[in-house]
Amino acid sequence: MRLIKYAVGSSIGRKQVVALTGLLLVGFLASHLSGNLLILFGPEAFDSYAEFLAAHPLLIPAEIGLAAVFITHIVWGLWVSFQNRAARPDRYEVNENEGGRTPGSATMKYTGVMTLIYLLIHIYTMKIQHVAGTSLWNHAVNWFEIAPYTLFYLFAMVGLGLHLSHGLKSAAQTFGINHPRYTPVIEIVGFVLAVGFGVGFGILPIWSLTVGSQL
Amino acid sequence: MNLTLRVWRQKDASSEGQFETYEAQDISPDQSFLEMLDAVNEDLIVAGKAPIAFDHDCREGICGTCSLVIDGRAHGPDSGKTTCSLHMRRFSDGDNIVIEPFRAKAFPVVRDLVTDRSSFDRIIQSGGYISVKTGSAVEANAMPVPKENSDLAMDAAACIGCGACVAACPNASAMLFIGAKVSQMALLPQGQPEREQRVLKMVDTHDAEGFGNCTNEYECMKACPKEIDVANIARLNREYLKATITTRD
Ligand code: FES
Repeated sequence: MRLIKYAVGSSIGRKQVVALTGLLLVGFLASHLSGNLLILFGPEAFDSYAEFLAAHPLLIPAEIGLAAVFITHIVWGLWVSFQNRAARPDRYEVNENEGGRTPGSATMKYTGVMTLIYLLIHIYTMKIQHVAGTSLWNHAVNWFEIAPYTLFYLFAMVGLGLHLSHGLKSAAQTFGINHPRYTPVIEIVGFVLAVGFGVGFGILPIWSLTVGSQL
Repeated sequence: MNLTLRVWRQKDASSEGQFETYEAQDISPDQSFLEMLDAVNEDLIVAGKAPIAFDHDCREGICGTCSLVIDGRAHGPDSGKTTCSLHMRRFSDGDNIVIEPFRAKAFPVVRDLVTDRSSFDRIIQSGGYISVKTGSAVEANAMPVPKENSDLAMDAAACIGCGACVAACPNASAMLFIGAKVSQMALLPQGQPEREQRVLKMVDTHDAEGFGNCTNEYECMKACPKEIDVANIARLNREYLKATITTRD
């Protein structure tokens, strides 16, 4: 009973669900980014990796698990933010920051929704639209040649970086980790990872348009 | 100094409110913010109008009764200060000042700038106490407390329950308040017997009262007149997770 109440009916429990799924998604992003960086090594390296994944027997179970984590993170995250909106039905006339907010923390729900929109487009372009057996590398590089797509992509990656800049340290606090020795380290690691993911994914279209399209 | 105030006026909980503009004239920089409001109210009474209702009691920063959001900041522009300890020298002649009540679903407006903060009392009633007879003071060494814990508990106990954390929180969450109240007892031996039930009940009541969920923006800590640290919220999160796992209900 308590566990159901915890995960569904309590403010701290719901936040910990968001934090846990968020951390799992960071783990997924790390493996996804390291795979994607193979794009920089040319079509053969990337396509053989993509084919290896596509043929892997655990791909479907992994995708189902990943989808469950994503959906939980999104649903619980939106739920928390709708509740938070309802907790202050009358807004302030003047909104002045007290000095605690950061660009990442203040934009969390917007960067989250933006990442979701990007995710849907990404699944459509790179998974549904890609014809099995053809080069995924070519497919990806061709998409990057479409300027509005690439601009949106870069915009979304800045959003992802902002989201992570708050998400990682916030997850630590949500699980009760706040200590003069560890918190500064967590903040630095969180910031470096956020920039790393933003730049890591952001480099792909830039490389594709400059070096990749010449290959 | 002369100032222009835009003040939230609302007849009662069920009426619609609106901002009214008042001129505060000949205000001394040595007056406190509440004394400035007193002066405006005297003029209003002389003019046959209803004075502005606002909460206050000790006027020396210890009771947690005063409130107000002044130019968008809970307890005004200074950190570590209640509204009653804010002085007019912090403002300049000719300033426009917007004065609003604390805004949260769990703090409904009673009249003008007065809000009903009894949701905090109900949170305390649900678990923020110790059910033991204290009797006379025990022998000092009978109950050892590490110095660090007593310092941390003392810092948490500085909370005066004013609700500025809720007012400043973008989500109207009271996590800093409960964090402080749970911490001060979780850190000391007297708080141990009810430690698990206390955190579960206080968080349940917090949620039922309609406060929001903390998203770690730390606006509360910056607004808090007693500078309560968000490490108390981390402790609350830990205590809650632990109690959820170990409770037998
Ligand atoms: S009136 Fe008591 S703290 Fe301000």
